[in-house]
Amino acid sequence: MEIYLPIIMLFVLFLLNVPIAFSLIASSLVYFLFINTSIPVSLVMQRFISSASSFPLLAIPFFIMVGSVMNYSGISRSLLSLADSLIGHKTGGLAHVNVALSTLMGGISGSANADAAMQSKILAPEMTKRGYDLPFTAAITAASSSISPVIPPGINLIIYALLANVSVHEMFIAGYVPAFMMALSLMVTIAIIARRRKYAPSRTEAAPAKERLHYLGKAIPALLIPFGIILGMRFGLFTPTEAGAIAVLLCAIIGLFIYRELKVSHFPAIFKETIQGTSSVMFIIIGAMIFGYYMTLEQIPQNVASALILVTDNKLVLLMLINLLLLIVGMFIEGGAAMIILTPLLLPAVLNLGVNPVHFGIIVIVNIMIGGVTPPFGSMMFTVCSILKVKLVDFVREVLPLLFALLVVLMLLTYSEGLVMFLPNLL
Amino acid sequence: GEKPTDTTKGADVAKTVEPIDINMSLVFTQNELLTQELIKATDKIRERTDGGVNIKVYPGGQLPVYKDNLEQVVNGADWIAVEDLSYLGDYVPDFAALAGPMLYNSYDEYLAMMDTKLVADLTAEVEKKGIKVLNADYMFGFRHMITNKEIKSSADMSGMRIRVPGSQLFISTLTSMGAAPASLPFPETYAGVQQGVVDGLEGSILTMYSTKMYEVAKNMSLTKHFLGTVGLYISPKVWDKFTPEQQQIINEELAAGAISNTTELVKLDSEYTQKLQDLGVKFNEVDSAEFSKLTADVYNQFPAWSDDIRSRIGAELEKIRAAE
Amino acid sequence: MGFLVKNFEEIFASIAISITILMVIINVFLRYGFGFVVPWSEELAVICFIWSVYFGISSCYKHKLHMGVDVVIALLPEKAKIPFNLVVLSFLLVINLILAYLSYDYMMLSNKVSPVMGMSYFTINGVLFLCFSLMTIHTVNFIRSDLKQLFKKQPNTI
Ligand code: NA
Ligand code: NA
Repeated sequence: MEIYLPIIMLFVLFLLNVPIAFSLIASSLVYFLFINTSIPVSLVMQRFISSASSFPLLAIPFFIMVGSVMNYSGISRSLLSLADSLIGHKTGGLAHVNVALSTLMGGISGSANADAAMQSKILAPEMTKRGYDLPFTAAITAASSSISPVIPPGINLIIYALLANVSVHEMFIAGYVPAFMMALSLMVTIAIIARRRKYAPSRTEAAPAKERLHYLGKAIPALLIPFGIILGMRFGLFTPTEAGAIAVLLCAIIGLFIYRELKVSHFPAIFKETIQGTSSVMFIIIGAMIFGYYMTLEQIPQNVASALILVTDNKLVLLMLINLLLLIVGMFIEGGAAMIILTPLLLPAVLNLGVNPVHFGIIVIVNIMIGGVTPPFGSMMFTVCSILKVKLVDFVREVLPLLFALLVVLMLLTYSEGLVMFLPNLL
Repeated sequence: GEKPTDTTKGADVAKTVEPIDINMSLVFTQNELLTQELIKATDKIRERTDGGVNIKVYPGGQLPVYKDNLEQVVNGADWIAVEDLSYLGDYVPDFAALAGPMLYNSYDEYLAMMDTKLVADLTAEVEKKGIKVLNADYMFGFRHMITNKEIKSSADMSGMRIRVPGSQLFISTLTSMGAAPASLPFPETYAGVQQGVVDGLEGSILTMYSTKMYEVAKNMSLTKHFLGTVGLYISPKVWDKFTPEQQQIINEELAAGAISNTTELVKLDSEYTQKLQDLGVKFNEVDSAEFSKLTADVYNQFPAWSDDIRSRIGAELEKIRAAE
Repeated sequence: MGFLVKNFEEIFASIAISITILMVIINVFLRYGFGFVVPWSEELAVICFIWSVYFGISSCYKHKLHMGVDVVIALLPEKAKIPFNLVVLSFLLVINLILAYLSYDYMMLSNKVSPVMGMSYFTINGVLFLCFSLMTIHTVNFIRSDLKQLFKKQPNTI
């Protein structure tokens, strides 16, 4: 029983308002100091370094910095003015832009955390300026960031393909429909909420064509950034992680020499925002990795998974149970890690019951991503809340309807294989 | 892979001897051959020691791997690290030379090398540094070039951006072969090859098949520039906790596992070559003599290695080849 | 000089993250423009990232930017807030001290070198010791100012 002590302790520390990263680290320390002494305690510090030693993690500071530079250089404002002139007369317009951006630009960062961080910096200030509640903004930003990793070439799609021995191509193609459904479900929910709350449109009537053209002209340099990045990646100039650094450079050049709003004197603030935004997120990721170390050593996720498989041999019931398990695991462990641990355990059982492995992969990834937005733990939830300084209580209240929408999509994806497999089967 | 019957059996023995739990950490994934063989071997060890030696296998880099893996062993954790010989180079530099480029022509040559006095001396030396080599006979295949272009000589490789793991030995070797090595994280490599960030990678037949690289790279040039092998390492302090009977069982089962691994590997090599050919992958032989000559200088680029290490390894190899 | 001491973490983290970004950008240009690959660029970029992350963690701590779950504290009466906070701070002091000690121990164990550049892990692991030591000092400062406020407030409330 004592092996579950760290989990209990984690909840207690949480309630005492101990910072999340410290709660995770302190409960894991109890395990390594008192419960499992087969590993020299100092070696736990390995995990503090190795959890941060991964090149793809660099996407986080890069995209936070992109967001920050865009704000100081007038790029975000010109993009948002364009968006506003196009759909500002519709209720909840900018909230839709937030979702659309995660879907369209998802392939750029491929990381839900990087996406959440960047949009917290770019979109959230503009949304609050135009009258959206900050917690509502935070909830949309976090929920929509779960779409990015489902869009190719998300790293999770590749890792799953390798674990499950399926075609990477097929995984890539299978991602499009689910991502589109997630986006659609969020937009529908947002439309309902915006109407109920009577969020006033930012303009009373549709902007005239002349005004739209004016903003389009002003936004052209800004629009070059996403296009440049997407083209650069398609033509193999750089990898998704490198794209972040290139985007920083592009934004700085456009801000300094074209919009001329960016000043050298802005840089200390940009650096401070980048560093603090990155580190508050990274500390939680590191804490989760260390807590995951304890869970892995005790094989807790595996034990739960094998127990599940023994419970039922009904395909639909098992998938439902797995959904629940992944949602809970996605709350505690970073998504990629959870997938690596659980896929080899769950896959044989579901294959036996006739589930298509590509279909199952999409279920797993969508599921874990939703887990990242679900309270009480969730990496994207923490990312957005720490950057926007939103209280968790307020966030939770606002994110519930959005979560519900995403869960409905998850159910649809789980129980109609055709939705996922339709595109890959065309090939 | 754990069977419930083992734990009940272990409970009886636990009254006399405290059962020992050991974590075995490796980066290979669950369904790879090497992992499967190690799971089989550790299951047998658990069974034959009545649960007294409980080695839990953690594949896929769930626990610390690479240098952190060895660090666990050196600092006396209840741990078995599974890593290639070059990782011992941090402790006894010449060990890394045994994993150097263009040495072995066949799996048997490598296995014979592990039985030489040269290796026995190095093993004794590294044991003094806190690493006992349990077994070094596990292989996972020769590494070749995986690209979209037939490579026969160094000229064909000139200027090609080739993904390598982040290791100086790989970087030096690929540079000397004429390529431009780029260290990219493995998960980014598939999309990297597809979109042209790199022109290819280097890896084994098993890697090419199991990571689906054949979807984006259609040629394998059989350079055999490295032989992929791993050793199993444990702390001598932990080793001494076992009874002599337990030690014997562990040695026997790991040795049997290595033999089974090699047999399966040879089978899979030809099976996967056929499968890859069916999927449209072309194989070609290369000018090995030229690559051997070019990579010879790599052995001079590591100041920590003994000056004569390449010639000593060469002498052993000649003896091995003469005996065949 | 005062500026340097006050913004120690931010300055170091900024320098480190700048090197990371520059390394990645230069690598892309060299690789694509000149077909030339800098083999150690990825490693250096990641090492600088680690340094920047840990200096940044201490910077966030200094500015109380690490998030907690604020449900219970929101329910507490005003009077209980500072004593409650002191309990949490004392706990954090203990954790930071343990982590500083463990990092020191781990730093002294480092006999690895980085795979490409051959840089000693002493310099990489050392940032942990710096980070947790700095956070220990910050915690002591928080406790001092909370205590000061507690005793200043006492006469008013009686
Ligand atoms: Na978004
Ligand atoms: Na969650």
